[in-house]
Order: sequence, then C-alpha cells, then structure tokens
Amino acid sequence: MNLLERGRISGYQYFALLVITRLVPVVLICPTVTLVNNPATAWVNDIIGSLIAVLLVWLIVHLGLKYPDQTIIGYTKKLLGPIVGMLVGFSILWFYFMIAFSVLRTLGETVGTGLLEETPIQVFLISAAFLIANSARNGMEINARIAGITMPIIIFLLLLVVASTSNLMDPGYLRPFFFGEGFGELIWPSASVLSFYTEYLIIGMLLPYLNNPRSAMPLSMGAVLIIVLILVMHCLGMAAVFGPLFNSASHPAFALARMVSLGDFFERIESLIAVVWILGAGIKVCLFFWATAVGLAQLLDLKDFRPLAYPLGALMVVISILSYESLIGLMDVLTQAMIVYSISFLILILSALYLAAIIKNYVGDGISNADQG
Amino acid sequence: MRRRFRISRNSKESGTPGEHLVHCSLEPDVFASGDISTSISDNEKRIREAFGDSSDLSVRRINFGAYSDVEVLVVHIDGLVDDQMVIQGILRPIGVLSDWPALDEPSPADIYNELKSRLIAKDELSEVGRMEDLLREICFGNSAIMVDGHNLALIADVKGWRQRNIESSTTEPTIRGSKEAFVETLRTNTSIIRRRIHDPRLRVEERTVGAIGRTFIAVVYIEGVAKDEVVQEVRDRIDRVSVDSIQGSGVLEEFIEDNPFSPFPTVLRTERVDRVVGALLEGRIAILTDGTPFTLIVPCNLFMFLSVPDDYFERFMIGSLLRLLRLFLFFIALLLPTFFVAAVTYHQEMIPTNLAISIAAQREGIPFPALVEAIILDVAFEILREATVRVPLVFGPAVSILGVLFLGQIAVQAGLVSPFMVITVSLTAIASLSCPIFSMGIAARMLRFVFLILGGTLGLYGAIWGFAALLIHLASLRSFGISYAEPLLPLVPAGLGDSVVRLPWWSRIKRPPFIAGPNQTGEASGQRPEPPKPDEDSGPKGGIPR
Amino acid sequence: MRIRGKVLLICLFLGCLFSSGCWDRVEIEDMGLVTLAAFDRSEDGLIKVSVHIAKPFAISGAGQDIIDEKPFWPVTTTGHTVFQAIRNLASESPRQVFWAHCRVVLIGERLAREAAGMAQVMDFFMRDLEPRNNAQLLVVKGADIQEIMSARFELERQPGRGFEGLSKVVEARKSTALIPTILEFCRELETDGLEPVLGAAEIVHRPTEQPQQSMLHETVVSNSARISGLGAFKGDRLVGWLNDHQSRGVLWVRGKVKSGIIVIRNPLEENRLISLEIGQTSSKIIPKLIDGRPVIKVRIELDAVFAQTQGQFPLLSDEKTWARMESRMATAIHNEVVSALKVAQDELESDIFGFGRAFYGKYPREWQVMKDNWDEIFPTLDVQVEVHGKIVRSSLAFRTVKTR
Repeated sequence: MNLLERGRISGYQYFALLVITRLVPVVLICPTVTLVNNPATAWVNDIIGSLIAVLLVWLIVHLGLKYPDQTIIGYTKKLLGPIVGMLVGFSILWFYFMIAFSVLRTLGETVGTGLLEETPIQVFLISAAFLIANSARNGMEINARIAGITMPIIIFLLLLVVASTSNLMDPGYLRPFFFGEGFGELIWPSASVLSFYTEYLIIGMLLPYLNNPRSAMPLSMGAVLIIVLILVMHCLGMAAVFGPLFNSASHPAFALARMVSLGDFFERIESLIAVVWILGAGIKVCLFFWATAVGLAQLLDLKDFRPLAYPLGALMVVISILSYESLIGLMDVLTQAMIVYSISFLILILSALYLAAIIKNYVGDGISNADQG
Repeated sequence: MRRRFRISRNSKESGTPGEHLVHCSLEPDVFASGDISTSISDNEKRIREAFGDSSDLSVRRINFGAYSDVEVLVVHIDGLVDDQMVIQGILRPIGVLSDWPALDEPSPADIYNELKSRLIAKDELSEVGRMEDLLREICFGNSAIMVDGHNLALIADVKGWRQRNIESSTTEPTIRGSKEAFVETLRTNTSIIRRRIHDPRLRVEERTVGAIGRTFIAVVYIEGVAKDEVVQEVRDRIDRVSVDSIQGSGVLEEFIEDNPFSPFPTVLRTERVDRVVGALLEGRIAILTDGTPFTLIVPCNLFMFLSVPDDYFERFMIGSLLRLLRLFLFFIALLLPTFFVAAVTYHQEMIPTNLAISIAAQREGIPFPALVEAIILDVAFEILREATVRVPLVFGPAVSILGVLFLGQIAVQAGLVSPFMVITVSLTAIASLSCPIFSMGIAARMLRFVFLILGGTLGLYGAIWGFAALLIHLASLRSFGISYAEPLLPLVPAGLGDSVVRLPWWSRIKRPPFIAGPNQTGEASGQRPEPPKPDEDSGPKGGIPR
Repeated sequence: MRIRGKVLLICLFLGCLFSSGCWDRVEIEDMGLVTLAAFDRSEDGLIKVSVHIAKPFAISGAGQDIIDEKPFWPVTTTGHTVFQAIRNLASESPRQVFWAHCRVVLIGERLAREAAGMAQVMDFFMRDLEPRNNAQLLVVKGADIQEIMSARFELERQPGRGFEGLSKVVEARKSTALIPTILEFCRELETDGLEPVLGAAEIVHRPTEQPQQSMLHETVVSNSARISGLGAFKGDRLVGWLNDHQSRGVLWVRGKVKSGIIVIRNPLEENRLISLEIGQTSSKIIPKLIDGRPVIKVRIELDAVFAQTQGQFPLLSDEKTWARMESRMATAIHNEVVSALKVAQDELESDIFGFGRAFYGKYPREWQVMKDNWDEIFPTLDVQVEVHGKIVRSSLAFRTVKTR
C-alpha cells in the first residue's frame, strides 16, 4: 500500500500531537462545562470520560498495531473489501474532515469574540486555512515538529493561568461532592468529555508514520494520562475561581485568562495567551486536514495527496462557514448531536473493523497480516 | 601534491564540469591547447600568443651548458613567483648542471630527467604534457621548465606573492577568543586551521571553480567526525557550480545554499578561525575560498548564528545567559515593533493604564497611524544604517549627528513621531545589529517589516499568523540535509544544551548527534571538577592534582 | 513556474488582507479610556451612567511640568438599558469610549436597592469583552453618583486610582470593608446560601480651603470620598448598611480579616486603653444538625500584636494579665460578630455570612430541603461564636515610655 507521505514522526511528536488534539477543546471553547450541574463535581466527569477513553484508545492503537505499515484507510479497504471499505473509508474521512472544519470554525469564533470583534470571521477562516493547507502540503513532519514545541508552551500557559488566578480561588466552591439529581447528571458531561477523545481515531492515520510503532501504546496511554491530569487541574481551578458561574462562560479558559494578573503590570494579557492556544488549534486542524487529504488520496489510489491540499482547504473554509450559524449553533451541535454521533460512530467503526479482522483471521485470508499485532 | 594531481586527472576526463565549461565559455584557442611540442621555440611562441604578450609574463631561454646546444625554457609570471626561489631553485641549478662534464652529449630526455631530479622547489616537481595544463599552472604562479626536443614540461612550485598579514577580525570582534582572522590567501588559511587541529584526519580537499577565474575552493573537514553523506553532498554541490569566476564566498554560497528564497541564511559565513575550528570539531564542514577571508560553514543551524565562540571561552553560566540574551534579542528584533503596534492599535487593554495614558498623551497630534509611524521610523533607521556603513570615514560623524538630531530629537519635537515609538524602533534596531552573524540580523530585519504589516492589520492574530508561517518555514528548512532549527524544530532536548544555552564543557560528552558522523563521543565522561575524595585514588576526577 | 504561482498566490492573499481594511484598528489616542464608572437609576427612571474619561494631554509624558488641569473628563448619560446608556456616551465623547482600563465601578444606592438593578450592570461586565471583570465594585451610600464622582483625592490625580488605592488599603490595613471584584460579586450572587456584601463608599465634605494667591492652585478639594462599612444585599438587592464595627464582624466570620486594630481596656488601669493589631487570623463555620435543627458554630482564631498602650505595659511574666487581655480581645471580637449577626438576622434577614453555604457543603442532601425556607430559618438560626485570641508579640519595646 502506498503511504504517500515520506515523513516520519518521533514518539515525542506523536505524543505532542495527541495532547494538543485533546487540549484544544479545553482551551478554546469547552462545551463540557455548560452541561455541568454542580461545578464541585465537574472533575469527576473528566475522570469518567477519560477512563472510558482509555479503553477506546487501546482498541484503536491495538487495531493499528495489527497493520503497522498501513493507515486506517489502508486496512479498512483491505478488511471490508472494495465497496464497503470505500464507504467506511469515506465515513472515516468525513469524520476527520468534520473535526477539521469544526475546529477551524472554533478557531475563527474564538479570534472573533476574543481578539478582534469587528473583523469578519471569514478573514480568520481563510487566512488560517491557507496556512494550514500549505503546511499540510509540506507533509505531516512539519506540523509534528511545530506541535513538539507548541505543546509544552500551551500546557505551560494553561498552568500559568490557573496558578496566577489562585488569589481569586475560593476552595469553598470545591464542596460538596454531591449530585442533586442523582448520578444521572454525570452522563452527559462525561459523554461530552468522551466525545472529544473519539478524535483519537486519528491515531489510525498516524501510526504507520511513527518511527517506532511499538511505542504507540505507552505513548497514547501517556497522552491520556497527562490530559486527565491537566483536565482535572484545570477543572478544579475553574470551579474554584468561577464557582456557580462555572457553566456560564462560552470560552472558559479564555475567561480565566482574563483574570491573570502578574505583578500588577501584566494584566489583561488574555489575547497574548489566546494566540498561542489558537496556534495549537491550527496544529490540530492541520493534523486532521492532512489526514483527510492523505486518506482521500489513498482511498482513491492517487499517486500524490498534495494536489488535493488547496481544493480541500477551500472546501473546508466553505463548509465551516455554512455548517454553523454562529457560536451558539456550534455550541449546540457540540453539546448534543456531536456527542451522540462521534461516540456511536467510533464504536461502530471499531466493532466493524474488529469483526472483519476476526472473521478474516478465521477464514484464513488474513493470516499474512492479521497476527502481526 | 594532491591538487595538481587532481587537476591533471580532471583534464583527461572530458566529462568533468570544470573542463566542460572551459570549452563552452571561452573561444577555443589553437595556441592554448594540444600537446606540448618538442620545439621550445614553438612552445615559446604559443605561450606568448596565449598570454597576448602580457608584460608580466617572464620567459627565459637558457643554453644548457658548454657541451651541448640544447636550450631550456623557463616561464613564469612575474609577481606570482618568489624571485629568490626562482634564482636559487631553478636558474642556479640549471647553470651548475650545464657545466657538469658528466653530462656528455646528453639527449634532451637525459637533460629533462636530470633537471627533474635536481631542481629545487617547494614540492616535488610535476610534469605536464598538454599546453592548457601548462598555461594554467603558470597562471597559478608556478614556473614551467621545458627542454628543447622533449615534449613534457616540468612544473615547479615557486609561488610567492605579497599578502595581507593575519589580523584580528573587524566584522566579528571578540573579547576573550583568539584574535586571528582568516586572510585572502587560501594556503595561509588552511595552514591556520592545520595549526589548530594537529591530526592527519583533517582533510583539505581542493577544487577549482570558475572557467575564467579558476578560484581555489578548499573543502575542509575531519574524517570520521563529519558525516560522509554530508561531505559528499558538499562535493557534489560545489562540482555542480559552473560560473565564470567565484569572487568571494558569497557567490559560492548562493550556488550551494538550500533555499534561495528563504530569508534565513543556511550557510554560515565567518572570518573567525576559532568559529571554523569549533565547527569542524563538531563534524561540520568548512568551505574556504581563495581571495576572501570569509569562510563558509555547512551544515549550520539557526542557533549557530546566535552564538559566538566567546560563549565557549567564558564560564558556562555567563555563556548560557548571553546565549539566552541573544535569543531574546533576536525575538525583539523580529517582533517588538509588531507587538507594540498591535498593542497600541488593537489590544489596548494589555497596556497598563498609566502607560496607556502616557502613550496616548505622546501620540496626541501625531499625524500617522502607529503602523505607518513604525514603518517610517524603521525605514529611517535603515537609511541611517546604510549611510553610516557606506559613507567615507570622514563623513561618518556628520551622518550620525544629522541622524540623531533629525530623527531622535527634532522629529519628536515636531510631533512627527512619538518618543515611545522612537524607543521601540531604536531598541529593535540595536537588537538586530547585535546579532553576531550579520546575515541573521538581516533576516530579522527583513521579516520585521512583514510582521509589522501583519500585526498592524490583524493585531496579535496577524502576528501569530506570521509566526506560524515562520515556524512552518523554519521546520521545513534544511541545511545540507540537516534540519535548520534542529534542537527546537524538531525538539531534541539533548541538543538544547549547546544551542539555546551552553552547558559546561565536561557535560558535553557527545557531539551534536544530528551533525556528527559515526564517532560521536567527543570527550571522556566524569571530568567535572570535584574536591578530591579521601578514599579514592584512581580515575580522572579533576580537582586538585595529587 | 511553480515559484511564480506561489508568489502570485501569496501576493493575492496579502492583497485581499490589506485591501479589505483593518476593522478593529483604533489608535490609542482616539480612545477615551474610562478610569472610573458609576451606574445609577436617574429620577426619571432611566439608567444613568457616569464616567471619568482620561485626558491624556492633561498628563504630561514624563511626569514633569504638570499642567494644572484635571486629567479626566466627567460625563454622564442616560438610557433605557445599561448598554444603551453606555453607548449614548458616544454622542457626547469625541473619542471612542474604551472600558478595559476601568478598575473601579460604583453603583448608586437607588439602583442597588432595585430588584434586578445590580444584575443588569453585572451582565454587561461579565458579557462584554472590553471591561475587566476584576474591576472593584463599590456601592455608594447616601450620595448621588454624580456627587461622589466629583470627589477628589489629594494623592491621586485620577479619582479612579484614588478609589482603587483606597479599596486596597482599607481591605489590607483596616478590614472593615470587603471590596469584591465584579467576578467575585457575581459569584456570590449565584452562590446558594450566601448573600453578597459590597464596600460602601460615601462622600466626605471637607471645609473649603481659602484659595491661595497663586494662579496655579485655584482648584480646591472640597469633596472627598471614603469607604465605610458594607452594604448588605439580599439577592441582588441592597437591603441595608453595616457600620465599620458590624462589617468587621461579617469579615471575621467570612475569614477575610487581614489586619486592623482592636481596642480593649487595660487590665492594669481600667480607664486606660490598649490597641492590639490583628495578625494571623482564621475562621471556620461549623454547621451542625441537632435533632434536625440547624445550628452554627463559628470558630475564630487569631494572633494579635500588642501595638500601643495608654497606660502601663504589663510585665512579660505577668501571665494572668496577659490572659485577661486575651480574653478581653476575644470578647471584643465576639461583640463585633454578635452585633453583625443581630443586624443580619433581625433587620436585614440576609445570610451575608454564608451559613447556608456551609450547610450545603456539609449536608448537601438536607440542604436541598432547607434551601427553600432558608429565609425563615436564618433569622432564628442558633449561632455560637467562639474566639481564640493570642497576643504573640509586642513589637520593638518590652516596656512603655515612662513619665516621672
């Protein structure tokens, strides 16, 4: 199978890409918080969602390791046959593409509401998409390298924001650990947390390009672990600062960053912090955009994915403008339809692929490759 | 001598690029090509014709001795050869030999062989059989000796000309490092390097580039430390160059660099000897060009441009701090005016209240938007800088006084520019000038304008957009196969110790892994100075010697 | 060809970028920076907003040759809604009003006493990008907002900075008022079982000084402002005022006392007084359910420093006297808390201490039932106050100055 891409990424870069992918919805718009009833218990959702995510990530990586030299598109075609494989492949690519344009729209909305209110959002979408398509065209290696240095900065800024707002924190808001409407109120927020982990289906595209595919499992689990720590810490910080206002902000991390005061001189530096997070969002869009382009080229047996970059980029901008009316519409989708869709989609895809792999294994058709993992 | 051997071999291979070029860019010259004839009169005529009777061509015909009427022809170019050496090493031996009775009725071949074994020159004498080789050797400053009746010529290396003394570098001053800088003569420069690396594995490969200029280029590296693929890549790229002449390493740099459209230099140009030696020891390759003191170092990365050899000679803490300072200055040179303009026109909430009010007070009545004001001041600074560099020394003070008065003071008083902007732009200018390697300062200055426009139109979003574009460019930029921004893009924690900061010498056990070849261990471990332990009496622990 | 295409693409892109203009660009000198803002309900029922806009040209760059002109422009507009009133500033201010530098917000008493009066102001500050929601919030006691906006501080040229400094100093040195940021106030508005309090700003009329002969000193400070006590809220409605004494009582319970002076009688000479400076403090609200009846125990601990005495200074070895001083200090604090409790329970019927929140924290299940009739429970709530005070240091002197 033609991999179409000569780049290789190191374990650290893989890790950084995964961490950035999951942190972007935390630092830009965090729809999970709007679903939370009692801020004091919000961190539980992060842990529950992540625990289920560990299982899903394990399944994704395990499947990928069975075919360490193929992308998810490659083995989907192989396992499900040309016609079904094509359909499922397209649905996977659509999933990637949907994440790409949703995050692009999120990026645009964040810049539009947080930095430059008067500027039309199209400016941000087009300019960002141009850069993203250009970077994706240069191969994933470039994006992975940038992710490598951006990831620590994003995390550092997140920690800085939480640490420097500690003077506003009231630990009284971290109590009580109580569910007014029963444990049922954990379901939606946890599902929302989990729904962002479904984006880790991207591992299927990244694995064959990893320097050492064997390290994928510990790296993926490490990424989930780091993310859980950050999520919980961020969640506790937010609950302590905002208290009952916890679920009111459209951009919670941004709202927190507005409170930063360093030595009475650096105040209101939220734009400075936000642009780094926006860079992170750009990296995430680039990753999913690249996956769409390469996956599409593989699915259609093209020789090169690069000619697809600019047309797909233009398409991404158009769809991101058309598919959501506004930030409110985006939030609405992210807090309802997207949760159901992404989780059920991931479960369906995984079960279909595993089922096919098991059947092929029994029939004996897939002996040559199915046992490699 | 390797070079001569290589050249004569090249001349026989018709396919080599240099030779190919001779024929395509110069009119074929009937006198200047073909085998050397047995008749020296014929040869003399051909040489004179080839040089068009240049007045500095010195042709001497000597009758070889009393016992024969065989004539010997000695040809060289006056001023390129050492007169004493010609007299002592060539003319006097010919005279002495010709009086020697042992050579009774010698044949031209005997005389030729006798001369070949008896004449004195710096190197072993070599021989050429073709006229174009002979002419080239003369141009290089060698002396050609021909015997009438023999169709080979002896070439004696008697080069010697006036050259500049080795002086300290003016473009890269140093405080604690070696004061020696390279000079224009290639051989002197290679000798300076040899004097510092006493190891036979130091390789000096010379080639000539340029159909007319025939400039000597020396590729210097340490075998086993430099990566073989990189060395081969350098050879290939230099061999691909086909041009009339290389006057200065900048010309060669443009031919061999990786991305001509990048604002960043991917080849480091320096005249400091210690910088070149340090680079060689890390496994890099130096390219010396005859006629210029500026040596090229490849492969290089971003951080080499922000470090100076002095970092290594100072103690490591201050060395590290200075490196961080320079990195900071580079960012200032790149982004400070952008940041200022973006803050003043888009993100006023970021400025502390008092500062915001006083900036507003200063900008009261300034006719330009902040972006235009910044560009005007930046351009004014560039004008000043260019003028100060180019004007004759005597006008220098006049330029600076006018600049200081007009730009610094009157412009502010007249309400054309605000003092804060003057502070910002001058700080930026000083930061960009403080870049140790000039070409990197230029890169920062060029990009600054791009960033300024981005920041002035889209605020911090524009700035981060530009920064992302810069990151994409830097991450894809390579210098001779090595990632340009290596320890950061991709992030290699081990590499940060000698790029962003400088860790102590005793902690740098490995050479930079992304450059160095097979032998990566640069020094023995455990050399950190420690107080001697009473119960331990072995091992090279440093500290007080016992 | 490829390069030419690339260059063309970039040029086109940049061209689009620049030709379309810079929407958000506002030069800083075209902005009117709000340094102080006040909101109130005007007599004719509109929302009134009064702001100080900085006059940069009245502030010289390097602080030299101070122009004797007030460095701000007070302006007042009205509107049906908060945002309309704010936007109406645009018809009077030639410079775009910019809120990000407004660090103090005053709320007029009339607006504060309305239902949903505070909430609409808070909504603007929490929703809009520009204003900082860590601006400090004060409620104006008695005076009209325009009157208090005319207050001048001799030490600060911008009254906004004056109020900001005042709030910090009162909180840190006196602890008789709590000046929450907008975020903290909104947080308390939404917190179950806790009613917000706001520092009260009131006007001080100073006797007008005789104008001096010099031309430069014509302006004479006549009005100044001070922060005294707290305004207590119930929901977002101001329900009453607490004096300094009662305010510190509230702060003791909330654990917000940072410093301050406690005056007690000298045990050695009953007609002389001793000042103690409050050092480290901590407080704890311990809710209990005794037979389903809620009971609150407040436990306050503090370290104090012997700061000043009118009469004798007890010997360091005189443990009995020190113990008496400590118990008198505890009584003084107890009195402060009890007086605050009395006002809150009897007059205001507002749980400004956060007792309900303490119950929610410890008995969340029971709180679900209790919360609906907390307003009835609170006035009759049984509150026990326990104070443990210690005098730990006597600063630089071991005895007092003696008179022969």
